[in-house]
Amino acid sequence: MTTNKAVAAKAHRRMVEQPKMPPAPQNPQSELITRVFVRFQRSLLRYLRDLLSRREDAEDVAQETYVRLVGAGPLEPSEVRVRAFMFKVATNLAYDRFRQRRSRGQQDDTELAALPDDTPPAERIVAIEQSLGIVERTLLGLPMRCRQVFLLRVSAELSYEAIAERFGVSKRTVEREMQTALDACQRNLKEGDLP
Amino acid sequence: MKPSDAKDTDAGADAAAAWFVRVDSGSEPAADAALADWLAERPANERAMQRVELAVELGRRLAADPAHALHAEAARAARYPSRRALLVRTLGWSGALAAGLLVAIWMARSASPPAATPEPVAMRAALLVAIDAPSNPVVVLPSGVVVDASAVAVLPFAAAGDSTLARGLEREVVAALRSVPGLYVVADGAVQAYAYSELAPAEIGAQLGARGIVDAAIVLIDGRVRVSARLREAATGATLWQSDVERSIDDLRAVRDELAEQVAAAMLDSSLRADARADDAIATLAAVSYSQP
Repeated sequence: MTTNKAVAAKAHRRMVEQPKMPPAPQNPQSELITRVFVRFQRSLLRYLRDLLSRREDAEDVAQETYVRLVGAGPLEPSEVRVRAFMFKVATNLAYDRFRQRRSRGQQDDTELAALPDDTPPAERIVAIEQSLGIVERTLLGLPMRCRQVFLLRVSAELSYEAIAERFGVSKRTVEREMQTALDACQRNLKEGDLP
Repeated sequence: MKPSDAKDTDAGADAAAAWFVRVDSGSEPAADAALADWLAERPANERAMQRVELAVELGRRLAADPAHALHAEAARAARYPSRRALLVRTLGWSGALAAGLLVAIWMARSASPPAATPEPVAMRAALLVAIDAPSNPVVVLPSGVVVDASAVAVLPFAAAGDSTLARGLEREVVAALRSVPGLYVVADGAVQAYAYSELAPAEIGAQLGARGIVDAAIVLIDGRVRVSARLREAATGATLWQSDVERSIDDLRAVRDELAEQVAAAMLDSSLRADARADDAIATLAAVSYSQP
């Protein structure tokens, strides 16, 4: 039928013409998000594979992270901040995924060992269930003020200035305590360095 | 820094926490751009930063779990300024130093234990606020003795007949409680004199410096063990928690876990309520102390 042919021709023309069309005016935030996502995609996937130890889970979570980022409210127009936010969202989604998996009673340990991975063991991050235990033990092992600085910043979301006032110390001291807490956790989270 | 240098991996790991804080504290407006460069420098830097970020999110999750000890600690830390901050706020730095000096002189002169001869309120308050301890809440007992709100005394478990089992269970419960963060456990030698004690909880608490007092009685009948335990509050004598269980002797481990868990939960939970009282107590004591020269 000629009408069908005409439609097909029109569609073909449109497809060919498309690249020549001026790019749709994109919102600078989603442009930034896409840029950051593309740049850190590999790194994010590797991170999620370490945490979840199953490739499908990692890919699902990465995908959902992107969707959440695009749907998020206004972000600071800084690549570093968007990257940090992306990992924050991904970590929380990974944690929820792990909880779901556990509540369904899935056993993934065998798959974990079988998964091929080109990352050197020393650079791997431990799976999320062990990570949780490591962070817990590390925090509990810290001196009290150091732990409370971490909790006040991370959980109560007080500013460094407010924490300094609360403890009657300088802001620099609070920064040092926070750094100590984070560094202790970070070191213990390296695979093979279990405390 | 060259990526080929093997030591660099560790150097990167070391710096990640510092970079996070630099950006997080917002003290340096230029930190963002510098961090982007640092992250791009080597994959190890990026990985180290991921571990820092993972720790932050998991720490947040742990503190958000109402059943977790870190949750109680976060809540306590958020509502309770440290004694040092309180002192500095009330008196300024010079006043705080003077108070510290005062206490040092007083401590050098007086060798007597505080419980034996109750010192004047002003001195006690000065001692209380000048100790630059972390922000543990405190409770003032009816006798005026100030005790740590997180201190719990575990009195020797009473046993009908053979006491080996009671000793063993007591030791295990004490060990389990000692592993709970935010709890200070008074036990062993310090409490021996209080076995089967008729003293009121307020008196025992004052003498042992504890806000909570645990006692228990163990009876063994035909391979079953019956454990009655309770936690009393020294300040009021009220029973915060009580349990009466009978189990097979093989289930002693479960009994131990249950005892330790519930005592810890009751202590940590009620220590939140104690905070308000501690706040008031410190404010009152400080006011009395510093209005009277």
